Amino acid sequence: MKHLNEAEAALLAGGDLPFWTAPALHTHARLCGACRATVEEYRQQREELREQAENFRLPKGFDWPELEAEMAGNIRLGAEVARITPPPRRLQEEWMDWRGVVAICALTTVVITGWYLTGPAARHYPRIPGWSQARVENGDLELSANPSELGLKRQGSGFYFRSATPTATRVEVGLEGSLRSASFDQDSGQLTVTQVSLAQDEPLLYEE
Amino acid sequence: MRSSASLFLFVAGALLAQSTRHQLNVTIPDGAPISVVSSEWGESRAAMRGAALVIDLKTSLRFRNNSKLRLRGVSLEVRTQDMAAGGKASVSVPSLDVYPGQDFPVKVDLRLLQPGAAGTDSGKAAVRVQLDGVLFEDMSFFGPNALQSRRILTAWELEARRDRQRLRAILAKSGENGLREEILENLARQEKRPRWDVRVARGPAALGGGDPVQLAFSKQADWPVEGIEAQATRSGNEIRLPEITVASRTNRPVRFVEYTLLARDKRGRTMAAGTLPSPVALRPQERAALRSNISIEIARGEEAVDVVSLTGVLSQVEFSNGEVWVPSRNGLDAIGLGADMPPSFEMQRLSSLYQRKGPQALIEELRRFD
Repeated sequence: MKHLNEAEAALLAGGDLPFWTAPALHTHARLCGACRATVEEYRQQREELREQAENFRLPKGFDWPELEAEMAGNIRLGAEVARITPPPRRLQEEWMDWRGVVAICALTTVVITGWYLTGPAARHYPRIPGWSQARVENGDLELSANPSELGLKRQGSGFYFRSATPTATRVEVGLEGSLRSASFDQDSGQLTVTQVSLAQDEPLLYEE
Repeated sequence: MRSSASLFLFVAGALLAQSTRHQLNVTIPDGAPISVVSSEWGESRAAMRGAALVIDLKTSLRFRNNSKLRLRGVSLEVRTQDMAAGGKASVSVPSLDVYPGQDFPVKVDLRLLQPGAAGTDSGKAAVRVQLDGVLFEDMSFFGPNALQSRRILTAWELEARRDRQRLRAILAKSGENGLREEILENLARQEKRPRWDVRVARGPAALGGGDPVQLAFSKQADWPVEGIEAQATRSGNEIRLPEITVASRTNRPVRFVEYTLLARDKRGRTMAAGTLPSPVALRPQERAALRSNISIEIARGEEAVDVVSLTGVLSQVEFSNGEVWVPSRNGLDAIGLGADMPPSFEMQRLSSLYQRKGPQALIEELRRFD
């Protein structure tokens, strides 16, 4: 079988291949070192991109009241302008001019072509060094936490809590054999803490 | 090829047909001060990934506070029929402010892995959610407490009150600008904190050689438990903590202690490597030894982090009567490690609120919990 092209590798990394082609390409990627490496690279970049988006923070000194005042001022200005400006011509009249339609179509084509040729291909995202993840191992039972999910796995069976946000706000490791992850719901602001732990008959820390 | 395509169509059809058959069973003990208002699966999806069947399940459970008190936190145990043996899982929601008669949601977003598509129940999930405890504004608790929810929710609530109190004091003294400065400093500290990967595994209990690693305990005169000595050794990237001795500095019996372990690397960067929570029968003014059979590895991506010292900071104590102690902000500041300790969940929640909605929303939130 021929090697995966870039589009197939990217779709495979994201789990977005159509179900009728996924098994064959998946099998090839598993057997072919070069393709496996390409898929893995896409997978890492996907994670990095997600984390980069999540880690975006407002700059220190960002002034909310100033921004609020500016926005209120703009709204007031807009209202004032609306009061003194005559009502706009109907859209119908604008579209009747065929030259305008041609100009817009041409401009749209240029923008789309430019974006396609020079846009942010997945490969060009900068790497973010190191991201927090944790693992607790006890025999064949593994607890794990990464920025998007926290759970446990044993012999092919797995159970994972998925974070309410693209990345968990914080992961805590309990050295007695537990993992805890906290995330905030962006809509309600509600904090949810999920935890997985070893059963009490398998503790890693005990009193002498 | 045609037969395999047919097989996939069959499997896909079967999964689609089964996707609505997931079972969700929510159990609330008799006499509980909360009740279930709604519990249904929302969006769910099943797909084959390699040799495993992956089932994504989403639900938003809705409960009602039937008590006469404001509810501060809730903890639920979550189980599935295929849950890996030897493990437990829970979902908790702290920092709530639910009035009597008011409803509140708890979101559960799960991904289940089932080996292969074999077996009659493949693609079908049965999830059981059971109340483990609820905490009220007067710190009273209700629930089976199988997962130590009473201690955990109480400690989070005490930390939340401590941190809200601090922010209120800053607001009263320095106004909105002071509050903004405090939150931005807190956010900057979180941003600067190194991001390390931690791996914990069961290791040999006995000392098997290795280089000693300095492990010190932070102490304050009014803290109820004091770390006396600890042995830590390092072999390659593995750090082992075979024994820790603690002493009671209170006249009340202690049944649980938790230390936060801060690791410092060669470059002077510090990060919380984890917490050491341990049940203990510590009588007043006596000592107890905690043994562990764990090894810890800390890495930054592929590169091992060269840990040169560890510091244990007492972060939680539970007395035999169920009361819980957490260190005060002044205590943490006094030992000079306040900035290195992970912020409380409440501090992170309030910082997040500030980021999303600005200072006025934060001030209103602080007043709401007055």
